[in-house]
Amino acid sequence: MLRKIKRVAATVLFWALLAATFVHLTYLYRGDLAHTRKHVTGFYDEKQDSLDVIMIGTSATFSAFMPMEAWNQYGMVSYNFSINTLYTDSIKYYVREALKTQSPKLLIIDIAPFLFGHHSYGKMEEVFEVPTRYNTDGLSLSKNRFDLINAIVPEWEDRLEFYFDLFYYHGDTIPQPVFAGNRQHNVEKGYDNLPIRQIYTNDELAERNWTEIELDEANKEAFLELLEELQDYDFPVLFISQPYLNVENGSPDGLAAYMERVIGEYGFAFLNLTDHAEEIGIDDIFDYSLDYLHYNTSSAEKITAYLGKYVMEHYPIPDRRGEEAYRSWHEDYVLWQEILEEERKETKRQMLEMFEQTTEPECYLNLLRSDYVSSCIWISSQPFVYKDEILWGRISDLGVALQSEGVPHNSLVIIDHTLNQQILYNEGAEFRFSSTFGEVRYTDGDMPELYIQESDHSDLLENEALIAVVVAERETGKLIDFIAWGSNEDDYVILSHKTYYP
Amino acid sequence: MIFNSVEFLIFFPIAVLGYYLIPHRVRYLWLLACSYYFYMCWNPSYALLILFSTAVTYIAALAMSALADKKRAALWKKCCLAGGFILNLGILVWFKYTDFFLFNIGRIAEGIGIKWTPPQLDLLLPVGISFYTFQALGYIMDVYRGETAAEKNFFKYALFVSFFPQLVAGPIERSKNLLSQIQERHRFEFETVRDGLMLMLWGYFLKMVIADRAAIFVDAVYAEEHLYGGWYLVIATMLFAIQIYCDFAGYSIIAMGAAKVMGFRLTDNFRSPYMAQTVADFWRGWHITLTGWFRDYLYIPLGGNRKGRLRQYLNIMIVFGLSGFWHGASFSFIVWGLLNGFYQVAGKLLQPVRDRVVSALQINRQAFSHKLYRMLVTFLLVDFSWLFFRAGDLGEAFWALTSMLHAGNIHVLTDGSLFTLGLDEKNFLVLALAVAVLIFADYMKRRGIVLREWLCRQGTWFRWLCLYAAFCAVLIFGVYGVGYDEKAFIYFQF
Repeated sequence: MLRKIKRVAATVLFWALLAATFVHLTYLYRGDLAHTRKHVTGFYDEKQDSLDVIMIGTSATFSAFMPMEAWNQYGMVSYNFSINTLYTDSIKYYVREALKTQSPKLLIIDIAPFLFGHHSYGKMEEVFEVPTRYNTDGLSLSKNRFDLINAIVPEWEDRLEFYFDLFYYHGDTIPQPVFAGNRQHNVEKGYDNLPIRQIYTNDELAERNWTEIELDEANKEAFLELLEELQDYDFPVLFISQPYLNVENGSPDGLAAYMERVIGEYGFAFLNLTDHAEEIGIDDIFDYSLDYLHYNTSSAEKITAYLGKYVMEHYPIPDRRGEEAYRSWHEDYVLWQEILEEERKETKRQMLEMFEQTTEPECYLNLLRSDYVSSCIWISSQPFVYKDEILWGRISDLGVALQSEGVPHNSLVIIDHTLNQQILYNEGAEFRFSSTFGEVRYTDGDMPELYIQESDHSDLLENEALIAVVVAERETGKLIDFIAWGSNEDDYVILSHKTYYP
Repeated sequence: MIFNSVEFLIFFPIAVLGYYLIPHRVRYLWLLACSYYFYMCWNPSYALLILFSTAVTYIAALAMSALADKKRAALWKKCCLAGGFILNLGILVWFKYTDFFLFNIGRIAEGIGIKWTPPQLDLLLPVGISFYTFQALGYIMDVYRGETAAEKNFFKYALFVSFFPQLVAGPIERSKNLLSQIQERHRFEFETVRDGLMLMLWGYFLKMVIADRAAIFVDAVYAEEHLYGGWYLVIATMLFAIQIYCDFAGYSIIAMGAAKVMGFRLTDNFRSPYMAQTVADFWRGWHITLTGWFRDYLYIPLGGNRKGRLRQYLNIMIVFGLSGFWHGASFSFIVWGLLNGFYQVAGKLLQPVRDRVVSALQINRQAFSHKLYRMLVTFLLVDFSWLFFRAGDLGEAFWALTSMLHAGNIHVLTDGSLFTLGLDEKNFLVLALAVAVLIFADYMKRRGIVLREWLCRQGTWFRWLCLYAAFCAVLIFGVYGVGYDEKAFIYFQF
């Protein structure tokens, strides 16, 4: 009998250790499909009940709010518990997950998933598998994760590979320390910088329209379920909408208006940051990355400053900067500053790279407004006709007033944004050429001088109906890009485009 | 439902749990239900086929048994046997060989000037039909010969035909072995269950870590053999030898293990075949149950070695030719089979010559070096025949052969080209290490050492460490999950 009991006990222990090994291997080999796994593992690494503010949302959220800056400016202890393509029907499970280890004083939920159609829609075609895994594969193995998978993966046969996500990731290189489990310290507290990829033209931006548009059935159900559940909690919930560009008659405005009303009916607060974009200081051209609803470091710093101040003024969130228990946050901030500096450089680098990727005149000329560059525009005397407009009119948007008549042939126009000056050289004015094609130099008190290698572009410079632009990095004077357009009757033509960056 | 699927990992414990919880006298019904469920997961309509085959052979056996005392019993028994064979083989031939025959008749007709386009039936071969058909036919042969009594309980007999661990790819069990075990009372025995699970783990290692990994490279080369000729094909063919062994042996071992967990003992289908010293020896260790089936039900009835040497050689060629044909409806399979038959005939014919050479050179046949030499030669001969097995058709096989004989790209062995066909350096290393483990295990088996038993005699900590290592190896290095195209076991296609 004793032998049997020992045997049973040994068997149970063996299988328990095997299960633990399986769990450990899962955490060890889990890949990082969207590079946001660290947001989740970082959340688990935070001390129990240490966070006062938890923000939940999608990529628009984690690129918009910098918890470490909120800490530095206001002493707010927060975490950006957001992941790529968070489904609307996943939000309540993420709330439950957060509340397993934390007792926040404020929960902030970004409505971006609802505005931009993040829902599983009960589909498991190939295109949906990866976004679905963004939702499931960072969470620790638990009943809540099990419930989440059941909610967003429709067929039970497909669920099996989600329950046991090691089956998906095994064989990957080990992405984290061997014994870390499913937690790893995240200095950024869930914030992540996203690459800049697109600059919009004015044509692509639609007028705001706040006429209510109801959510579709699936999202409405997820929304109402979430609101119902949130009512059971005893802490305040703030819904927010990050600022976004209204691109191509998009419906987000209408959806946001609808959600704002319903949120109010349930007694929750709503803050629409789009309404406050000007106050925040968002620049429509330079403060969006990836597309119209994601942010770079510049915009994230502005949003964080504004939102952090709002939260501290409207909610009883303590300033923890003097508390011994949060000493590690000071240490993290030191590290964060290095990270932020690198990310600012990265944002700058991405912006400068946009010159290579952009060829459309309006977008390109919009880029010239960037604080990172200075530029010179060479304009021929003939009007540059583009999209049935005289493009010189657009250049006037940049703060330079030009007149179609009176600009001599082969004139050089230098625009300096910091000085907001135009310097016009007439034909025959002395113009220095150098053997190296390379620099816009700013010498003390003197006019900026443009150095162009004659052999490269002088033939272009003699063309009529031409706009040529030379772009230099403002800080160093190093050349970044050169582009020249000609025009035919219907469209613009790129005559030359040469990049010197990096 | 394949063995290396999550569905099976859920199904199997339920099947086992139910088996041990249900009263003994109706356990076979539970297993029968599980077996049919297992089979119907492939395609529900397949159940009708296996049911038909079961019913035909059940009735045939009972009829033979009932007619034993009647007048002209021998004739009636022959009729029942023939009827059983014709009906069962008829189904097998219909599904497996109809398109082949029609196609070749069409070619012959074209050759002699008759214009006739054969219909393309594109019949889907029901999985496992070759195996359970032979198993059922073996049963009625045993009843005919009086070696076993006809089973009166239809459901027990149906379980014998459809027992899920060995249903779709063998081992092809004899009624004397499996049918009798269905009658036995199986108690839950810890050591037996543990041994069964360890066998399954080893089978998963062979299949998922070795076979499916080797398959990545082999499939890449053979899919574009005109692009990857020469030494690519040489390496791929050698890896195919490993792939098919580990794939098939892995399946058989998982089947043995799964059966053992429920107290059933299946026949070991492989006995270190690549350690064989001769091709005949190889076939005594490869797909043992099929070889045994052909020996007992074809070779011996044809006369075996009892009718003179020439007849014996002819019988060998017939048996191996048909064995090749059993594997697939293609001339390349027939050639593969005949080649193996030829090896054995040639081996017998050249035996006196080899004896004289060994004697003249005073070679010590028991020396390790000589055994190693014979093993390598046997492996090369067998691997050469695998070329016809893998190539798919004779044309491709001969093209591949020509390419290998004129291989001028030996540089691919050293310049890293081999690592660009699905298996990088790391994966080749994993494969090499896994094959080293396999060689060690097979060597031990050849020496009569059962590693599982040795492991069970070690301390708990060591035993658990080995088992966890094996478990982790399968989980981490096994080929499955995303990108895995559910490589069914190779022998499922037969």
